[in-house]
Amino acid sequence: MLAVLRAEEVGKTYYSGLIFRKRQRILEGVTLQMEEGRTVGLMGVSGSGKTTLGKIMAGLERPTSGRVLYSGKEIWSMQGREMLAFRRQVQMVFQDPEGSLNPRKSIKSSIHEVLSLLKVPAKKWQERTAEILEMVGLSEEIVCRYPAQISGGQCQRVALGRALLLRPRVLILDEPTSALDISVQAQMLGLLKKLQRDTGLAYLLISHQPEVIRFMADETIVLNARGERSNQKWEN
Amino acid sequence: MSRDYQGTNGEPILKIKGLSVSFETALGSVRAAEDVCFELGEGETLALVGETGCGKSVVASAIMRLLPPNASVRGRAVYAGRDLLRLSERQMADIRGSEISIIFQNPSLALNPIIPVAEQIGEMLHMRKGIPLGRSIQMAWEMASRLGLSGIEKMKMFPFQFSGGMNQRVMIATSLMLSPRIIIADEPSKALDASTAREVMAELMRIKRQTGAALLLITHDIGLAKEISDRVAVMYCGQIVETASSRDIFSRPLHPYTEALLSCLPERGFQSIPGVTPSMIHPPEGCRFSPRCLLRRERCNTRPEMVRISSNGESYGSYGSGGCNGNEYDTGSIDRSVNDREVRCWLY
Repeated sequence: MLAVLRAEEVGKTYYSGLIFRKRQRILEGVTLQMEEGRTVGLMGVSGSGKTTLGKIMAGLERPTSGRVLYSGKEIWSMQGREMLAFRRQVQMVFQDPEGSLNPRKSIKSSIHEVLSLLKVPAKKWQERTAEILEMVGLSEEIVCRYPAQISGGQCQRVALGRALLLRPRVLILDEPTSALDISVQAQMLGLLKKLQRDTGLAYLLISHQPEVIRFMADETIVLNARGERSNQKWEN
Repeated sequence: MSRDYQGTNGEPILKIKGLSVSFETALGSVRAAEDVCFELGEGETLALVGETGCGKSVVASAIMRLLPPNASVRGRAVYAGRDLLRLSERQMADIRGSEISIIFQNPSLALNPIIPVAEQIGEMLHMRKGIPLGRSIQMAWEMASRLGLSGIEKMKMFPFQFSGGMNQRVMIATSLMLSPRIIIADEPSKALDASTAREVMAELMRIKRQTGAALLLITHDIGLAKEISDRVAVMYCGQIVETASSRDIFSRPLHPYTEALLSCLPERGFQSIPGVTPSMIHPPEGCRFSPRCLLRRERCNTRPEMVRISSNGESYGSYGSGGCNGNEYDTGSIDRSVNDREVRCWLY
């Protein structure tokens, strides 16, 4: 099957200090491939570069070595419409649900902001908002509230809904359920599975919970403390 | 194994009776807790579990009298023969920290960002017991090192220089300094990764055992509740729906919500509960879980009473919408044991 998103020998090194430059290698030669309708699980100890790899795959950070291909094309060589399409079709949902939303904007404003950027006519905003809230299992009652007035699970579902408005092909999920309690976690994982079945989304699921990875992933990659892909065998 | 959770004089150390808390908001009255009743025995660990937003932390704040002015509180919280909800602010301030202490769930916000951590931990000893500041800080270091925060340089640091997990340990150390009789821990493991959480909770439990304090553990971490609690109270939409020993809750849940909650656990395949969490402004009439309950029947449209069930499965008492405000259940004074359980469901 053709890879939607592929990382080839990706590495990342951070430098700090102005005179005595310090090097910190986060990732080293990681290759992974994401395909339509499949979930790749990404595990590793704290500091192994899981989130950095997710950000590189989402085009939020540039790798210092290797390359990332989207539909066969190197993402940092894309320009104009191609880049716009990549930015829309590859979305990332972050770990901290409350931090993903602007605390000064109501849920309605946060959703309408995305619709405005997508140039959806204002008269359709209400209908699209209702559609997306239904998709992520939220009632319309919450639209007038602010992120601090809803639970972590509701915030996470709003963040997912905002990402889904862009009709992405790839979702990079960075610990999407680690801040949630077990019942909301179960709902969220069920929702992600349903969305994948219905829309053929490709997921990169970053998690430190083996049971979550076991439940969701078709293939699992483990990063070791040096940020290299471990040869450790992982049974899904 | 039967375990008597009552104190030496047979009386629980804390009795919560018919506690109801509501908040007035622009959208209406949020009924965050309703008719909450439970008892905490001396040295006992009682876990209050439930989904985020079900009102667990509100109960803790109500006991400590730390709710904002827009909160309306009814019921009783009896500690050592005194109703905490009717004490003056001065009397309550004397109890906070020295007799009942609380570990807040957001330590980075609960700590003062411009005071070094050792001073904050030792402040209790200095202010309450008159121990000189230098000695208080030294004792604070000792307590902090027991919780894995060793090193003088760390103790001179400020909360904003610490990670969430380190601040959580500072909070725990602060709450234990005066050896309180009751510790209320509101999501103590929330900011910690799994291995640190395990270490910190083990240390908390060790100190708790040494001092003989009772622990009211508020958590959505079912695994943690199973591991360390003697009894568990399950809360849903502002109400306690089931109370039983930890062993009974996990092996034989009675309330359909408890059963559904346990089905969400990884080992049971992440089976989600159908439907959405109801509004606390307009909660369902009758049983609050009924719109999501697979065993719903006609009778569930009326409000169920809390039924007391003995270890042999017989129900022998109940209290209804008036809560457990009376001195005893309607069966009169009963010798209670940890094997007895309570459930709020028409099936029983």
